[in-house]
Amino acid sequence: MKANCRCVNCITPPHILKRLLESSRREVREAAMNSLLVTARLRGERAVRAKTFAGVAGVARRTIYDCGTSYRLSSANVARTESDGQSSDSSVNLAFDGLGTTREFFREVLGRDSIDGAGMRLNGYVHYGLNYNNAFWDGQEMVFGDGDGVIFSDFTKSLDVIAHELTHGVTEFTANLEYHKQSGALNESISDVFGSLVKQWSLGQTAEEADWLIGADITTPEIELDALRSMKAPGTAYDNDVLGKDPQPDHMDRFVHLPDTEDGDWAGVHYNSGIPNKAFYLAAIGIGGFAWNAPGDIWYKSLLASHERTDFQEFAETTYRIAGADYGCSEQTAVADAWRQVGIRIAGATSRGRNRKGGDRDESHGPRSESANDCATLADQIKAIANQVEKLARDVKALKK
Amino acid sequence: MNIELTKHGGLAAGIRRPPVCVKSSDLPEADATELRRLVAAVRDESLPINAGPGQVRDGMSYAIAVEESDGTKSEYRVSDGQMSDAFAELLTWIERRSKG
Ligand SMILES: [Zn+2]
Repeated sequence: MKANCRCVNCITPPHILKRLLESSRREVREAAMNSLLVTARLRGERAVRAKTFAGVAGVARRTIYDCGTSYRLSSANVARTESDGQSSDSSVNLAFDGLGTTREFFREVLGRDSIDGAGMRLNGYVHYGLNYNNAFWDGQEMVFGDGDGVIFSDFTKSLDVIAHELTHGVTEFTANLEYHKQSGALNESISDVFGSLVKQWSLGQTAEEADWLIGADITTPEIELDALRSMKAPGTAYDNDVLGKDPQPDHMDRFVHLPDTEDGDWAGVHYNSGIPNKAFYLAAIGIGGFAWNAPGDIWYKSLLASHERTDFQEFAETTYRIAGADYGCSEQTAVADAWRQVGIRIAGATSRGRNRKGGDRDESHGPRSESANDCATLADQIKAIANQVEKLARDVKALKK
Repeated sequence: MNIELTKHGGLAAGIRRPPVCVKSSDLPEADATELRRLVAAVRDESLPINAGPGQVRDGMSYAIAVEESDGTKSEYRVSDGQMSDAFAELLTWIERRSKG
């Protein structure tokens, strides 16, 4: 076997330390805290610092503008600022609150202060255009339509749509993934991933509990559709005579080839995002628990480590590397399994054969490989050591008495 | 004069979007005159050349094809993020009619 899991790099994986932090024994908690602080200091990582020391200075101020069904942003009027109370217009309040929740998510979960990481103001425009079935990021601000009331309703109703647009700003200020072909589909997927995570975080849902739909709250009773997209099952969000069938692929075998033009959705950025979307969903289910923890952190750090032309393969390899370096064997294996199930293989990655929750199995892969066994053994050993530490702490306390 | 509006892209880029068609011959004379005025305004306006998405994400694009009564054809294209006044006015007029 060419490569082993990279979790040997760190003696006690951070997630085990975090679990030890919740121990009922003060000694165990203190030892874990010391170890975490040392790790954080050594790595100098912003995310770890932000989580451990709670809070980042500065709050990005929000302003909501009302376009009054005009297509011109320059003619919009200020509808609500941080110093105003609730508006009588629900779209204004939904945009204001949605941007606030997204801002808090990036700050509290990922240690990022607004779109640019430096408290950039958040400007949202509502009631854009007439019957406008869309929302967009224009490079500086987020713009939301009211929907036509037939296919879609008010786009501010879906928190994941608001977070999707704000995340386009974050991507622009970080990897700045080019908006066409695979880098563009990855750009779209990043917005769906954090869009969905903001919703899951606000609802306190685990990966298993979440619906993994984007835009489920902007549908109308007029037309049968679940949402704009499904990350869990790309290609199944709608299938009817009016809208056609959801064209998102969930595997590289079904990658959609479209012209790199406006009419071709820049080579299908909203189509092929289904592939990395499904990979994130599978990684989150494989790792388990709240998807904004390890899976979200791995994806965010991978975004920071990406560049304008990062494609699916490179991004997959980055997530794998970061999962190994910052988490452990089980997380790293879950990430490799997730990408493998959508048709992206990571060189040297091991598989645990079957996804924990019984996802698609790649038959070309045999049962748990030798180095996957090494991985599992190591994880077991770490668990045993953690138990011993706890026991030792108990003994020390008993001796002190 | 026949008008055909086609929309592409946006968050819901994958959905089917049949073009919206308007025939001036089907309209009351006042409306037909108004439509001709709006189209003329778009024609007189220098529309931005759209080389790529720029920094707009999830923006929609609009193409309005015009066929004059003498058979002359022309097409005007604009995207969110670079909307012009005259195009916005024509777009709003077509949207209002297609809804009504
Ligand atoms: Zn998008």
